[in-house]
Amino acid sequence: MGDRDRIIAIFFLTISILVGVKASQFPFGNMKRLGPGFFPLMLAILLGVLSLILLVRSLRRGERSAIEWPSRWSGLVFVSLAIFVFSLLLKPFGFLLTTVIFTSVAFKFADPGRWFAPMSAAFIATFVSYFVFRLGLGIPFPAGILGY
Amino acid sequence: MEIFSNLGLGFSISLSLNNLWYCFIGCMIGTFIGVLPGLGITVTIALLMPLTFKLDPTTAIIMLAGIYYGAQYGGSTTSILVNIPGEASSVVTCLDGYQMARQGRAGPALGISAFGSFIAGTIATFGLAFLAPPLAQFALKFGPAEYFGMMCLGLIAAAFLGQGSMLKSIMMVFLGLILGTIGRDLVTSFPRFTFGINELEDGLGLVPVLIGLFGVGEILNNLEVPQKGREIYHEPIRGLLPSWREWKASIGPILRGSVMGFFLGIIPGGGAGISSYASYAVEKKLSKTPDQFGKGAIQGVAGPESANNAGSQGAFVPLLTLGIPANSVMALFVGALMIHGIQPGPLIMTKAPQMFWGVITSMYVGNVMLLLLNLPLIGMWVQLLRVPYRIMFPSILLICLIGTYSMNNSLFELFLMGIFGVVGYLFKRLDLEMAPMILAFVLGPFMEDSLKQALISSHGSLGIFIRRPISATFIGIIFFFILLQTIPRVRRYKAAVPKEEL
Repeated sequence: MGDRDRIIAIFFLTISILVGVKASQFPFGNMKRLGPGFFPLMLAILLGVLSLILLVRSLRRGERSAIEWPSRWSGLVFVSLAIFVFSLLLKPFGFLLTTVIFTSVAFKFADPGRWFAPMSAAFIATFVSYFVFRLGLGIPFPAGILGY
Repeated sequence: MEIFSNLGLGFSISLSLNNLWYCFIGCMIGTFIGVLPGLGITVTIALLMPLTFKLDPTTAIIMLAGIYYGAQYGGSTTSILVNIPGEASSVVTCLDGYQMARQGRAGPALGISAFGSFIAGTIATFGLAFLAPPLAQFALKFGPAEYFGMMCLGLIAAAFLGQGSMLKSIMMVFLGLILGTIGRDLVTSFPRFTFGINELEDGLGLVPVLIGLFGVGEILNNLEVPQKGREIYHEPIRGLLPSWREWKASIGPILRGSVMGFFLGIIPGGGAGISSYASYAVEKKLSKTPDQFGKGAIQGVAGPESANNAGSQGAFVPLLTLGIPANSVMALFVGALMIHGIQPGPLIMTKAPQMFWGVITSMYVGNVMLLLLNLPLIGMWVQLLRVPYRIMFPSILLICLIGTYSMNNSLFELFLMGIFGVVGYLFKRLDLEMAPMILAFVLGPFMEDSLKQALISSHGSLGIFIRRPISATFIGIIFFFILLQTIPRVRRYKAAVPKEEL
């Protein structure tokens, strides 16, 4: 299962089946007037065929190129969580508070050994972005509980 | 001659104080992000798009274009001095550029990159001025069948030019086309794959997708690679002006790189990156002393650095004449034009000549500025490289978040960016090429529309694609590409190219 091509083939095959099933429920139309289902269904079928070719090719060749998975996952988990938390907090907390929380956590994560440097970086980044984007460019960020 | 009056019109636009100012800003930002590794061109332009909404469309495009070719100048600085490519298109410059710096020849390496880029920019500007009008004239004859054929050809070319296996690249094309079908159908406004989410009805937003794939995905990848201590070139940089001997060695590679880069830039999936690879390979082949390559050969810097600059300008040809983006940066330009109500394509030249010629001539103006900006200010740009990654990555992440949000003030798009960040990370892990997918994602809706229109005009007969000569030619070339791929020698050669050169 470790083979790169095999994983890719199975991933794409799954997508093509899901898309194909869903697209077959859309109106298909006819050749003179193609409906909304025609194009995605064709794409799904063609992608499925190509995935099968890749799958067969990788099975025939045997295992060769395993994927190198990372030794530490912390970066991936941290960044994706941070993005989702930022988007969740933005509305209730407002731009300034959310950004201060986000940057403190992010700079601390990037420089775990120290406190002063990452925290000052976080405050500088927050105020610079507040002045540039909120006041300078007037982007309407949610104000949130603090009103900023 | 008509071309001179056109260029005159163009310069009257691009030399206006306002446009000069924005061209300058674009070139500055371009050099800045070019020097900074970790913040790519696509991400920057996606982030800055909302800022251009208030500008006059010509000014907006002039500035965004300045970022694109400006980044090619900046990218070489990082490659030469730190051995880390500032941009994907200066990867090969590391090979000989860094060696030159280590031998104490950083000055000439930086100098020849800037002069080479300038010469390439000049040639590409004239190439654009001479090639675009006849191409746009030709494109006016295109009906939906021709457009469909051409877009198919473009996608196949993009997959062919990719570095991995063609099969997987074509699969990425189909994935991109599928992503492009998300949202309401153009004709019947039937909602497809929207899962009841309102924000998806207009389709996936290009900006969150690109910022996710290239901005966040890049951060995720960098966090895993242990940051190697950067060896920044410390000594003062002397002798930026290359010597007579260095000029003599470089002028051939510069001219060849410019022409080759320009034409490779035109092809979909081409652009700056592939141009620099191709130029390096050619110069190594042509050289009488190929063993010097990788050990500080000035030809290995001059050629690729000229080629990537010419390639970035060549990419404007299909955008301005056919309305087809050649790469993800050009896809953003399509978006920027459409926001201003301008449909990119052959009509730009006749309907908005001041924009068409203004943008083309601004590239020449911008190249002059970049030459003046880069050489004297090189010390300032080098300082940028001293910013450690622990400061850079949270800042880039914050800018990505703010930029994505400010596009449509949508929280959903922030989620989307996060999801595509993880997707981009996984694709990179799996060695899947994202460029063909992005191109397909952008072209998908146009393709479906032209397919439908072509079939309406032919009363449902697929024969229309073969009966019309231009579209038949496109289909023929597609089959040629696919056949070429089945020849084992070509396949082996393609598989060997990137690995051999790096």
